[in-house]
Amino acid sequence: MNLDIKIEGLPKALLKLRLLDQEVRKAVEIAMGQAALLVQRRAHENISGMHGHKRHVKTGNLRRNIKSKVGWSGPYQIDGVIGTDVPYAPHVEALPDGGYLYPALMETGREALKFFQEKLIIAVKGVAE
Amino acid sequence: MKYIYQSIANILEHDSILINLVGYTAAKMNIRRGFQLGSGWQKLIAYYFQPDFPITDFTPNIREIPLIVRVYDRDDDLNCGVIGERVIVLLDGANLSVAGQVHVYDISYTGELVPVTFNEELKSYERVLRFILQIRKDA
Repeated sequence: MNLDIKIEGLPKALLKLRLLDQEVRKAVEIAMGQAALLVQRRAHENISGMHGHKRHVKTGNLRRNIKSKVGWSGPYQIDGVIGTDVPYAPHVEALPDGGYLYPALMETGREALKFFQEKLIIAVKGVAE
Repeated sequence: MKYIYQSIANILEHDSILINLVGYTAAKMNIRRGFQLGSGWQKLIAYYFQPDFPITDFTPNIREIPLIVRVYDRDDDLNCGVIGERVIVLLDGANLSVAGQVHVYDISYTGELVPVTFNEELKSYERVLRFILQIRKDA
């Protein structure tokens, strides 16, 4: 007994898969950018003494120089980097009251994940339609 | 918290290699908990916890606590680095659980906040390490 199976619309499906890859990458890039900015803003606020943190601002140099950037470090790995090159920054981060950068990440992590959820849903729906 | 501090003190103050590297004696207290570094030391290890973060996905009893370890040597920058390496070997993955009080799932080294540099204010070489503990408080 032989079974003949014919699949129709395969080229179209493959095209959609390729499109999905592009759209997902775009969505992840936008979401990571938003997440990085969120953490950066929180770090600014933390160092200014908001959200129950101690104020560590004397000249504003460190606060001004907390920056973020986003980039692909591999075909399937995207990095969001938040930090500063001010030399005394690690000393402020190591203070016993908890620093500003690590708490910023911990306090906004859940919110930042939502960006990825939202953007990915939009991307997948857009390709499926 | 005091139980975990005791566990860390037990590990650091009873390792013969670290004791030799730092020249530790109970009288000098140059392996100590706290941020106030004081004076009268040539080599020093000071450690303290930063505020913890509850991991509310499971239960608020599970928390993540950053641990900062500061290593100082007034004369020798290489020795300052070596002391830091010994501390990492001792604490990374150590068993800090205290029966019936605190369960420490993990303590892992997350990198040095400050690499070996000369601290002008303290007139000493300095290295600052950071660890993260994941704990559950039972009591």
